[in-house]
Amino acid sequence: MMEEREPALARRADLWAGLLFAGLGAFALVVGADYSLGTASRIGPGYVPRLLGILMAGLGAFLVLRSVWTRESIDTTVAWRPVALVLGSLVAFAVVFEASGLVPGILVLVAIANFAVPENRWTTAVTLGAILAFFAWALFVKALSLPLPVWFK
Amino acid sequence: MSAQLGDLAQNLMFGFSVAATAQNLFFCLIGALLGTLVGVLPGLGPVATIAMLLPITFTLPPVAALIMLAGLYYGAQYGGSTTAILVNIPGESSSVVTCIDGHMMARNGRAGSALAIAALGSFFAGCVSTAVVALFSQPLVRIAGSFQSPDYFGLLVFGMVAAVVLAQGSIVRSVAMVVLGLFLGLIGTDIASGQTRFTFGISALADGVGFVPVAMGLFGIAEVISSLERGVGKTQIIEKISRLWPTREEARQAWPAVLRGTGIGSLLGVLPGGGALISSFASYVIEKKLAKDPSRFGQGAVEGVAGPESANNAGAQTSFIPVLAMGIPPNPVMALMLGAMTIHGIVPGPKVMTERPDLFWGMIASMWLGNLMLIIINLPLIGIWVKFLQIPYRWLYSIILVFCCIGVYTVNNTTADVLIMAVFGFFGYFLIKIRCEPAPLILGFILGPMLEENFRRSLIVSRGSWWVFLERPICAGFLALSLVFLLVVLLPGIRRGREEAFKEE
Repeated sequence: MMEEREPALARRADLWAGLLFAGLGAFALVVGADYSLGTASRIGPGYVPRLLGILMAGLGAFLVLRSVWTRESIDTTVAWRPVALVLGSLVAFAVVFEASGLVPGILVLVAIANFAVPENRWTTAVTLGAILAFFAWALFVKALSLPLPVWFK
Repeated sequence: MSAQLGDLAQNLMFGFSVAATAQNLFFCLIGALLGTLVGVLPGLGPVATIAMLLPITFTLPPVAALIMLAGLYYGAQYGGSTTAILVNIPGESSSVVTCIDGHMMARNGRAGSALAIAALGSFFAGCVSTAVVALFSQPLVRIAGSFQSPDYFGLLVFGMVAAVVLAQGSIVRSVAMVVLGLFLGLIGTDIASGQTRFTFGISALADGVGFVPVAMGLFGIAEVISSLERGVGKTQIIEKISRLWPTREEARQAWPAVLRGTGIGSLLGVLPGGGALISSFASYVIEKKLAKDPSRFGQGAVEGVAGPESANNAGAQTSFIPVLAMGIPPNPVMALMLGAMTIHGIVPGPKVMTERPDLFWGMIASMWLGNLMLIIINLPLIGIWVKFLQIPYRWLYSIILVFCCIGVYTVNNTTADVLIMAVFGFFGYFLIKIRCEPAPLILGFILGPMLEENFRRSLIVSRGSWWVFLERPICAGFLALSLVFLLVVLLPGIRRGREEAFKEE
């Protein structure tokens, strides 16, 4: 746990958490405003979301207030390269898999994710992709006969 | 009493007759091997491991699938300890304490002893806690049979409070995480009214957000991104293994710790929010307190490995009790196991024992078999696991991502789940950044729909009066206990103690 004497406001853990929960609570209340609350004995679909929304917003507000005196600080730098490439590779997998099957999906995933580590080269991407595609095909499609589309239809 | 024990023996024999067929033993073995293989890989805890390997059980008949799952589960647990001892990287949070003394033992040239003590201690704990599960599930099923909606509501609230109290870090933030989890659990179609909630017209969300993509995102993908952020570094230094057997002196030191660890683990595992993690922490703290010379801890104390390792295995096992008896998972791993059972058409809860005794007792027997498999394969094959440890992380993470994608896809055969996993991967990374523990969230998520359902039913029965939650003694008891837990943990003295217990690293 990082404790500093007087961390900048933007680095206080409670402030960030507070804003997150307050925002999500407000979101739940706004979106859930249309759902019926029902009656006391027969609660509607909006009842529990409303309760949880109020709770979340309240806890969020409390955390924001508390951040004035709590000292726990966080590291606000974001590792954009792995974030973008790892998430991008997953989205690409979903898209390519949908269009053309497992093997192309795996090749694309590895081709993108591989560069989340700057030192990795194309050779790694190609070798690793090929091995993984073959292995996944052999294990999931051949050995376990799961219904996975392998190639272009 | 003796008649009951006779019954129990008979039931266990029946269980073994179900589980110990050549085919099922084979699946148990494969499960244990694969579980260990993936569990050994640094940065992969049991939740991610089991979720990744889930698809391999899909084509099996239910009993075989459950037995394989049990093998996977214990394999994943053991694998984590191996990594902790040999490379000082906890494969999972419950191995964090094993790192301290286990790795020091390894550095002092006692890696083999540490591994053997961890394995033997775990095996002993596994045997005892299997008996505990067998012994206590049955009466609990009977008690659960008399539970009504308000009682379930009280129990669920208590479960979540316990999860918050036992979680690391800020209590207020953990409470908020539980509430957020409950909220996420509501996404989808409301079963009572048929109204879709928070789906924004996206058809993939109409059935709700799946547990597997959420858990994989929060525990698998987020962890990959964090590891990449910390840097992939150079090849791990793996300590050499000399002799694979503890000395007489070490065994003498280990035994009492194993016994205590087993007791602590068996007890804490049943608690909601408990399980392997808190058991190992508690055991370590107790061993340190009881030791004549506490300064040995952190320098390679045998008890510091024997106690927590036995405790986390016992806890891992007894956390099956609430799942089997009431269908309520006490921790994220069990939530995943429950999900896996549901996929195979088994809804855990009081009915399983009476309607499918083959499954119930077969599962309990397979727990013991899973533990036995592990001790047989784990120690002799240690050299192979070490080889897997040498795979550099800059290749490994791509492999993990591929298996996560396939694992998540195959649960419902939809790529929408891969996208949901990506979203929760990002969210999980953000949560790690702002120091919010994901475990309470996932527990709230899995319990959310149950909580709403029992809340709704209670109010129908009571015609809208909230007093119903205080009028039934069982429910009122759980709620009072929850309140006491929360108040106690907020007391300044206890709070400091709790922070220290978690800071043992």
